[in-house]
Amino acid sequence: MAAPAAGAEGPGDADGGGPRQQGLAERRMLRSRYLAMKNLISEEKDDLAKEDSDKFTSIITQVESLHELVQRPREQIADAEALLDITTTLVKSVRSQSSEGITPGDFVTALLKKFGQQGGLDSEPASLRWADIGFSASHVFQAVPGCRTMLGPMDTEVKQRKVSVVNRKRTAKPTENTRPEELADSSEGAKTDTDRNVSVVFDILRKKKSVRLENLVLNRHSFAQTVENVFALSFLVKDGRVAINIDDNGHHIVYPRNAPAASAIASGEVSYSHFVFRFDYRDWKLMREVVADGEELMPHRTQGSPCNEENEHLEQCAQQTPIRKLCRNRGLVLQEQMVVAETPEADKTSSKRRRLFRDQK
Amino acid sequence: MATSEELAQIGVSLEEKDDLVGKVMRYVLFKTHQTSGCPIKREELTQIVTKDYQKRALPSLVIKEAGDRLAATFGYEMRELQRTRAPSNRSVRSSSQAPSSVDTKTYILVSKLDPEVYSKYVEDKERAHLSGFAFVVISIVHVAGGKISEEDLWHQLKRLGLNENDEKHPVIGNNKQALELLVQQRYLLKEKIAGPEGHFMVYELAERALDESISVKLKDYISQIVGTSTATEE
Repeated sequence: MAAPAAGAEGPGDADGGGPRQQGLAERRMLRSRYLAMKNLISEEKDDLAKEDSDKFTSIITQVESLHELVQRPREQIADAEALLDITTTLVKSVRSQSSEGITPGDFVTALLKKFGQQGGLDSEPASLRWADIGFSASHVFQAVPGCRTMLGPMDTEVKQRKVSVVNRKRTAKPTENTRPEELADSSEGAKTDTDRNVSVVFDILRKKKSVRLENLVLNRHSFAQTVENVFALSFLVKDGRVAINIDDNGHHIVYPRNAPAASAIASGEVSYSHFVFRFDYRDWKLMREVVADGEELMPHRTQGSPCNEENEHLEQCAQQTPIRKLCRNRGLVLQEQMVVAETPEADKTSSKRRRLFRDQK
Repeated sequence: MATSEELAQIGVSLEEKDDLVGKVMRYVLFKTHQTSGCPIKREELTQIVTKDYQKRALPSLVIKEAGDRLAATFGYEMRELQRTRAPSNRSVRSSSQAPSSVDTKTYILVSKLDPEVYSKYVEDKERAHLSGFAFVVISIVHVAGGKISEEDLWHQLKRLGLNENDEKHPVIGNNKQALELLVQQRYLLKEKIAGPEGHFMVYELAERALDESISVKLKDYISQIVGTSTATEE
């Protein structure tokens, strides 16, 4: 048994009493003998508590003889550990008395006798006929195998299947590429409506020169369209084509003006000031009472056409008037945008295109 | 069986109740196979009922009737197990704060057939070796006084040709996994205990192995094995 290397001795080790001072080598030897004893206790733990075994007597005698040589704390610890191992083994033995005095070692030995089969090679340990034990002990558990098949899937599994199907569809590559039918872009339509409203608002202002804000934006029949009118007006204000001031009576007055030049904005001659226009359903109702019936300037838009007949003339004017928008993300460059009405020709081409794609299918 | 008056009080028709009982039965049967016989939590069965019906007394009634039907139709007993003891490594305070982890009711299926008929017709030949392994391990823990250190358990299993780190045993396969399955099936409890030389793992019998239906038969068969071996020695 290899002796463990001795560590650095503490100052307390030097002043031990006793008839003769032990040398380092002797103490190391003593500790190694204790280690050998601990290993022996571990190996013989099954026989240690047997009535007919003298293992306990021989081990405890050896530990006692070693104890007589102990002088220092480190060796006392080794002695205590050996005694603890013996005690633990005996406690386990006592505990196993509850099962009619059968120890785990006894049981394993009995199993090997009844169900054991010797290993093919000498080096191989003995093993058990596990299936035979299973059959002979099946009455102990009488476990139920459950069902391998099911009439309907369990809820948890349905979810998993759905997910996997979706993934498969995503990853699968299409066998042939087909061009889908082109549909009219709804976002473009919305943009056109807003532009149209902007041009209508500007033309009203150009005619009237100055109007009260509520008269300009109110639509008596629709809260939503009133909000749209405010939205359209905000574009004109942002582009500097409309100014809003407050007169002596506290009314908001809207009037048209020429948009400032890019150089004027860049030099700082012209500055924008913004305010938030609070407007909700109650304000709209209040506005309806303030504005006399028939004084509202913006026409009501039906779903079929964005503007009604009254408005057609204004739209024609708008087609001739270029609306200049200040494009902020292009380095303050003024762009001219014409509001172009959709011509029947454009419709024809789009329908032709659709037919072409249908033929390709 | 629930009477029509009882059902009327709860506010569920006979057909609805039968449908729920069928769902619970199917769930128990399929889940038992799916999880290799691990106990099924009562919560899972309750959820099947409460998903569609918010009636307080209904889950208990449905679960009870599902048990009766399984017994009548398949000869299976739906046995209720209860974890009443908090693991020793948890403090009493923490266990009182989370009673669900301590007093969880679970269900297992046990065949009510005659043992001879069971071993002849029901015992799965493909899984017999795992039943054997379960019996050996549970018996070792039982004869060790219901508690054994991991080191001691593997010491005994090594004598039977099972090494702790063997992942390719010709019969058992992964030895550690096979032992872990017994913990999942609630035959064993695995606990970490602080000892003089640091922490060490301890296995002890869990509620399934302590259940009367198993523990009595287990003791008898252990005595039988040890008795026959000593008789042959003499």
